[in-house]
Amino acid sequence: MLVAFLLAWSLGPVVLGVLTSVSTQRDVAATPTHLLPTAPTVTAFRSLLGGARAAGPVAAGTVSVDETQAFLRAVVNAGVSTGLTVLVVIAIAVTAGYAFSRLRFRGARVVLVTAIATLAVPVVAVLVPLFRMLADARLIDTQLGLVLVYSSATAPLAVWLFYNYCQDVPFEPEEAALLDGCNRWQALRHVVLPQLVPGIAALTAIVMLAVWGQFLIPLLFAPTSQTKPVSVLITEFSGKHQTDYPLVAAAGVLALVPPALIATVLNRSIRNMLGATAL
Amino acid sequence: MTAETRVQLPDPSLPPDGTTSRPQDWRARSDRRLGWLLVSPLILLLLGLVSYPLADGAITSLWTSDPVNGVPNRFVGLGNYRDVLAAPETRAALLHTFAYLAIALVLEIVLGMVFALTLRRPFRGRVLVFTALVLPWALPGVVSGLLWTRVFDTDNGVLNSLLLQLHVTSGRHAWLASPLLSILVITVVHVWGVLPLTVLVLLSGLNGIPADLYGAAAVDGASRLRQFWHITLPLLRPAVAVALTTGTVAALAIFDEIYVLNGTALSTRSAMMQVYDTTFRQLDFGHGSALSILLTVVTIVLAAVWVVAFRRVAR
Amino acid sequence: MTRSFRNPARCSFRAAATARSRSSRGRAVAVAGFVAAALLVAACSGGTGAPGSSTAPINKGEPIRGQRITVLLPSFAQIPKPLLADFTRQTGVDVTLNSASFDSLHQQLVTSFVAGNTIADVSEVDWSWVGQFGHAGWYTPLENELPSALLSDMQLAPFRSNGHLYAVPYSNDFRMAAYNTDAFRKAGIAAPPQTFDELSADMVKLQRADPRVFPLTLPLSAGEGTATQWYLLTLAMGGQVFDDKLQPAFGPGTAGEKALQFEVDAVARGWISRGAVSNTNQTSDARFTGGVAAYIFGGPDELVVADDPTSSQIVGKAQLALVPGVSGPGATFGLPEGIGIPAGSKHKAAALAFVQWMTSPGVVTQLRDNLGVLPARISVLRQLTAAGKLKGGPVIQAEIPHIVPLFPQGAPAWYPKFSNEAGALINSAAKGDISVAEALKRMAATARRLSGT
Repeated sequence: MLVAFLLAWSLGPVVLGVLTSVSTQRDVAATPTHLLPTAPTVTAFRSLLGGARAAGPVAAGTVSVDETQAFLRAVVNAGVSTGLTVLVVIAIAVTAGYAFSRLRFRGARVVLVTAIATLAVPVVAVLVPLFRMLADARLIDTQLGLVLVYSSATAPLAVWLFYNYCQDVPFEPEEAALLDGCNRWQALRHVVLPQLVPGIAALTAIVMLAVWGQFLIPLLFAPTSQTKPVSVLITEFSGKHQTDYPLVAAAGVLALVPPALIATVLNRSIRNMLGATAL
Repeated sequence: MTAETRVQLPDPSLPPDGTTSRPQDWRARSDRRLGWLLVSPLILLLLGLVSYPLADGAITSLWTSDPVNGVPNRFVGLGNYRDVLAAPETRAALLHTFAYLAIALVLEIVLGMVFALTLRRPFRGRVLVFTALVLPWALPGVVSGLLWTRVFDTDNGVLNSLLLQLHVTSGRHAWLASPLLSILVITVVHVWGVLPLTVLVLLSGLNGIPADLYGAAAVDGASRLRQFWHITLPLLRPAVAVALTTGTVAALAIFDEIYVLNGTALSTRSAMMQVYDTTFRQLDFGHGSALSILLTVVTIVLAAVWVVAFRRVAR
Repeated sequence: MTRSFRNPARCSFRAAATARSRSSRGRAVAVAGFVAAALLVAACSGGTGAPGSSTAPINKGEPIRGQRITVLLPSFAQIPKPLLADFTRQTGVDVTLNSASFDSLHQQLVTSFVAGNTIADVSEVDWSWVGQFGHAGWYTPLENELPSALLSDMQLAPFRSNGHLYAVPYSNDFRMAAYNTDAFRKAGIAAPPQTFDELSADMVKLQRADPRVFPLTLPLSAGEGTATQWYLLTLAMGGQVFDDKLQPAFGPGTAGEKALQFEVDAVARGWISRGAVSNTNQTSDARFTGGVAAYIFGGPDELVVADDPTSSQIVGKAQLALVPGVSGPGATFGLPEGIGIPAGSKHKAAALAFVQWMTSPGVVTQLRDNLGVLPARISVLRQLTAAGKLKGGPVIQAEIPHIVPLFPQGAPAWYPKFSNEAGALINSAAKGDISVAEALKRMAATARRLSGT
């Protein structure tokens, strides 16, 4: 019963997205609307993934970008920036989270609290100075610039979560290793790291999900097809006079596939972090 | 005895723990060096890409900065803050924002708790349900915006069609015409996107509660509800604080959901819309920066309130 | 694993009172240092700076062959690659064409200009940005750069501000009316209304003839489309939105008041759906092409959309009409899309060559064929109509003489903010939250506050 509610809540709009993606614009725009397509079609998917496209001039103000090429490129771009961000943030969160949890040094608490406080900084507040900095460093329209901004936006939460996770990992094996004469680094490498794997998997999922659908940051820092991710490209399927509902929905459904696959693959590890011991 | 939860909050009154039991000096020194070394990437990243631009914004907020009118920038101290605080639009926007915040936090905690408890029990297909749960988070905003407008449209929306077909209502309802209902509708859409994170945080908190506590309670004959009230809820306080904090950050930054569903309607404008409007539509960077700094301060204060109010209970 | 393995030593630091006090002093020092360092760095780099505007004439003699320019256009105006190759062949200038959704272009351009960086050598300039961008000095004045034969063949009023011309249109658009011939026939209406009195009478007939079809559709959501709809009605009813001194001209008894009253009454009388308060231009269009609204104030393209079988339910049933007025056809105004040259462009001569190329008769005709945008050149429109290649051509031609500038003196810098507030106040009035008089009073107050009078 609760599971059914959970599924309906989470998937309701997603199912609507799937239905919209195989409908015609005519069905979607009809009054009353057709929830179920009267003439199911995969035209939208074909124009995104390749294959036949309508020939001849497009109607006024509809989308005229070369969708296929642009779409696949944008998915790859999103994958690259998301993947790199995950790597950077994991590296930062694991080292910092471990240090905050295990090492005693003056100022650690301040740095942690300050880092967490930066969660409160709205992106809009820093856009213009950030843009100026990145432009000066010639990092606009580069994956590096985008990854740096994404990382600064997601690292605080990741560090906080990972610090909490480390606090819960038993200390004894590590202490035993230290007493046996291992140095911190060796203890980290051989004893601690293996224990942290589930936490890292969960962080991977969280950072990936937090970054994948971003809009405002890539709109400004990844403005051309060189770097533009799928979340920004989809907004371009809106024409002057109408938005191509099936095309937007199809792009959204396809854009959900990579994160859904990764979340499923990481699921076991996430549950190890999130709920396995309670079973 | 130490039934601590996974999600703990940094307690500002205490130094980082874990090593106090070992007083060796050489170890402490190496801790300090290694500690700063390990933390330095985080510090550099945040100093460069958050603190610096934020400080830039803070400075802008003390000046008039209006590139469109071509007047030279002038130092006005806290004048911009006075202006925005005195403006009735700011007050209306803050009022709406707190309404979004209150409704969102209640919904997120209640639904988040229900979903987290549901997901904690093993059942067939749990892997897929888990994936389904996190999907809303990964859906690009423009797509969810389009889908939700398809749901709530008055004339050819899915919701009105369903209600008419099921004979629940006799006419088409204008969901976004009344101020209260539109705030509620917008918040539900907002919560839909935020809930995956809430559930993940609460799940991680639940995991920190040792199963043997429930075993003992079951032996004592405590009902499930009593177990939830007396064991789960108190031990979940730190996780609730994290969920409230992330929920607060998200709710105080609410923008897209409103814009997509209701444009810049006066009855639903949020503080972040006011920031955006002042900064990027009006190009008044002085007042815009002052507003965004104010919003940041409010967010930090509220987050601090959650962290303190939901501190781990001493046992 | 069970919890008994946890490290009990973690509790012991609670006793370490001395460590605590040391740590809090350290914290204060660290916070101060953190903030001070950041402030210092920020201060040294010197706050928000705007790029200087360059009004020096473009050096047209500059050799441009071999240069590469970046062009930023909305996704609905992406020039086909073969056509772009023509430009490169003619001039030797390579073009990088970037796209963005129309709604995000303003944000992209503004952020880059304010940060002192220029992301394009040629960019989209929507008529509604002209006042702001012109006053900020972000675009190169073009009035002395382009041949007069070109300038005299276009509607340029929407792109003038601050005494300069900041862009030239690559596509044309202005408000007209369109109606569903089926619905009108059923209601026994022979010809589309010429005046607002006729329109009101027709609305009543339409409502009686078919209760399932709304007589009218209007955008009434809080947004730009809602504001421009009201400007149109105000002009059509014989009024002005602003007077010669850019003061509000929509007080009691004016056409502006009648226009807003007309919109509010349309909701109250059921001429339009109550859901119209969520309608943008796009969703309002969809009601018309969906066959559930019989009359709309739309652009000349309305017909093309209505006749597109992939989205429309009223293929072959739509006709264009002139915007009604007080005693005959009323005034209307243009909402064209233009291109301009950002002041920070380093390849202005090449950019200028591109602007000339993109607005040349041959290219605007090709853009019509490939993208469906209405040609900006008046002569091309006339030729297309004469050749029978323009749907509704004669009506479109008949509407053009009624086009008046929305701002005869040029757009004010504060236009975007004003139109945003106007859209929100009209939305409130349509929902019944505030009265028509209150909405207009607050609109006027906004205009006076923004213009500093």
